[in-house]
Amino acid sequence: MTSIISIYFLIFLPLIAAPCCLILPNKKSLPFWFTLCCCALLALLSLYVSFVQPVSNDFNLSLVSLALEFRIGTLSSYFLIALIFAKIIILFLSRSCCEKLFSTVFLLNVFSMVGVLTTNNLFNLFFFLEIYALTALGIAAVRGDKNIFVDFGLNSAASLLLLFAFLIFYLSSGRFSIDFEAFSTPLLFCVFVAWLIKFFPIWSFLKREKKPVFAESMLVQAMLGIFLLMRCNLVSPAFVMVGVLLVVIASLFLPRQKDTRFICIALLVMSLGFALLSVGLQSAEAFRASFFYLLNFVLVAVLLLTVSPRFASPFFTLIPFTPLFFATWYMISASLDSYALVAVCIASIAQTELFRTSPTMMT
Amino acid sequence: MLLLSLFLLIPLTNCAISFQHQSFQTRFASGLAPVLFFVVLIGITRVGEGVVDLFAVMPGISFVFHFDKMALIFLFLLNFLWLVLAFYLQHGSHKPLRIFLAFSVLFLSMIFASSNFFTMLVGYSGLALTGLVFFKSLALLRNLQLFFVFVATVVAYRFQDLGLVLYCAALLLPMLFFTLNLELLAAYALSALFIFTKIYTDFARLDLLAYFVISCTAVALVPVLFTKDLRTSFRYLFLQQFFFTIFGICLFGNFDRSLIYLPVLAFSLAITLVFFCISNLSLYLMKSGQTSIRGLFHQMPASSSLLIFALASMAGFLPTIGATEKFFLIKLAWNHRLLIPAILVVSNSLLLLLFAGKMFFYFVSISKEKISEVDSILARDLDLDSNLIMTASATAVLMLVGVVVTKIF
Repeated sequence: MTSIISIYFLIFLPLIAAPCCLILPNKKSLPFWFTLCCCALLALLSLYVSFVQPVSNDFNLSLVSLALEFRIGTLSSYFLIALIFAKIIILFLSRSCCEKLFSTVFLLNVFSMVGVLTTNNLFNLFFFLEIYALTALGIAAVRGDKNIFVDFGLNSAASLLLLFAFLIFYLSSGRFSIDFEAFSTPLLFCVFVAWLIKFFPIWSFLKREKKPVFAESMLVQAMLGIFLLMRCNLVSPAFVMVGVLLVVIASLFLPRQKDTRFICIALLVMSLGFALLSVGLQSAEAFRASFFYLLNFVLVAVLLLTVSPRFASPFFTLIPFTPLFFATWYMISASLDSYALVAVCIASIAQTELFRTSPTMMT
Repeated sequence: MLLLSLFLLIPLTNCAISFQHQSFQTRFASGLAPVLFFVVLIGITRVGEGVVDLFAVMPGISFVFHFDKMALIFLFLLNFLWLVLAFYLQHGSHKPLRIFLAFSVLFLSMIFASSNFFTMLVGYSGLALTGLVFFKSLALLRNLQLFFVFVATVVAYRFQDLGLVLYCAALLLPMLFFTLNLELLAAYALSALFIFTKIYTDFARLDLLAYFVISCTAVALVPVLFTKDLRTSFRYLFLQQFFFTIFGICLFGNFDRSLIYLPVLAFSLAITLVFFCISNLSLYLMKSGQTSIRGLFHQMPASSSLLIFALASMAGFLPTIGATEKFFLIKLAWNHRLLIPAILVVSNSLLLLLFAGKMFFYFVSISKEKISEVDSILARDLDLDSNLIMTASATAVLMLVGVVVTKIF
């Protein structure tokens, strides 16, 4: 199977599988297993894609290329694998309400997520983000979660901002490729505000009382935001400064926490800070570190939300060969010449302090 | 590769055994493990010097073991300590201590066989984290120290000189954690001594460190003499001798590298013997409720004699490995006209002699406290504990054998 066919499979498999769920016989756990099989197949495909050569703007099918312009590099393939596994975990958490309708919307949600991760076109990006928001609303409706409607309103406002920024960019430059370097400062500001509202409504994360909804916000929504941040090639010292600030704030907040949800949020803010640092430092080591921090966050969040805080606590300390060990190594190495080293030290101390102070008391 | 697998597998199996309840089988297995380890070490010696590159961890950094002369000397020393501790722990329910020691052996052997800073860091982190799990005191400080070692390792890969200085500073830090458990302190000290020796052998001369160590050794001389409590004075002695050993490593490292292992061997053996005796005496004092160490010689002659022997040999006044070490140190200072090190060596020996004399005086003087019949029986039982006598005698014999230790090098 060539890489292009596998990418087509990767993108269109959940789209085709979604309506198929509706014609499944009405048996109790069949939709769940069908969705799980689709996700497992997607995980395998994403693993396969990660081993083949990176693909960028390959199709060149004149007008069609507008809709079918994809790009899979190292970053996207890593995020694909991580997020599909996160989706599988969320599926397990939502098993009790996994019926035909839920599975359909869930698979559409996966389709939009894969689309966001693989697209190389602003139009596609906007399109997939809208599908993602709508399907998230659909999933919340099936679960009976009312809090999501306020977020959806905010999300729509952010979408309008995005649409406005993308259209102005297209009208001024005639281009649709994702290249944020070419954006003017006011447009970048609009995109930044929309990005913040869409992916990091921290204030509303806490309202999401049900575990699957909280996990979706933490493990998929926020991760997509971090992916988009890491994809842009904006080099600015401000990123390092904001990154350091976020890491330090999260570190000061982290050691006193006993509530697992607060810990997740603090770790998310920390990961976001490190992602900003990696974008600001623009070195391969910083990007590696950032990826390992995200991996560590995903692992900790999954363990905190699904298994037990006791199992998550080893991931707060520098045990050799764990993601945090490599993340700290790479980040120290990348930031030896910069004041970002202070942030790395504070973050590590905060995490080990959390490891030391009663992880068993977490609720 | 087979030998390396066995080299890691034996301590690992010992760790698994240490979690089991004490029974004849587990006791037999934990006694057999150091013997098998010794056989594996003999096998490695036969094969000769070799590097085993297991896998690449990061670009340019591998997880590598290197069995050279230095690694083997330290591994044989560790093997001996493991053997005596295995016998010492045969009786009684020292489960947490047993588990800690099993893991310490595993990680210390990893440190001793490590070829680069990364492999060393893995072993050191394992050791420090095991300590954090079993001993809760000063956990925050120890966490910070571990992080400091971590940063120093990363720095050492980028800026070697700065990294080495940071590394040495980070390794000295645990010695300042005075209230720490002695077993943990000993494990930290052994790993630090190996790393110092390696740095001096492989990398660089650190003059700044040598001056720092000389000052620490000199400063630490005073409290040893003026502390009255048995355990506290032992702690001071341990600290002072640790710095003296590093001072010895610095001196031999700068002028005669073939003898660089001598201070470590002398320190480890003497301190082990002192540790056995002090723990035995302290156990008696704790159980009997006696407050003074006066007259202990009449109740526990074996432990007291061994302690005085260890202290005198540490001072270099008995024909043991301590005397060999002091002889070569003074010879070196004389040949190179090194005044301050010479004064330090002589004052160290005199101080230890004074300390041994003070202990001897206390031990043989008549106690004012009345000793009951029960306490006398307890003292006799503890003093003639077969495991203790066996392990302590083995250590003492090895120290005596140390007069010919130079032939090894």
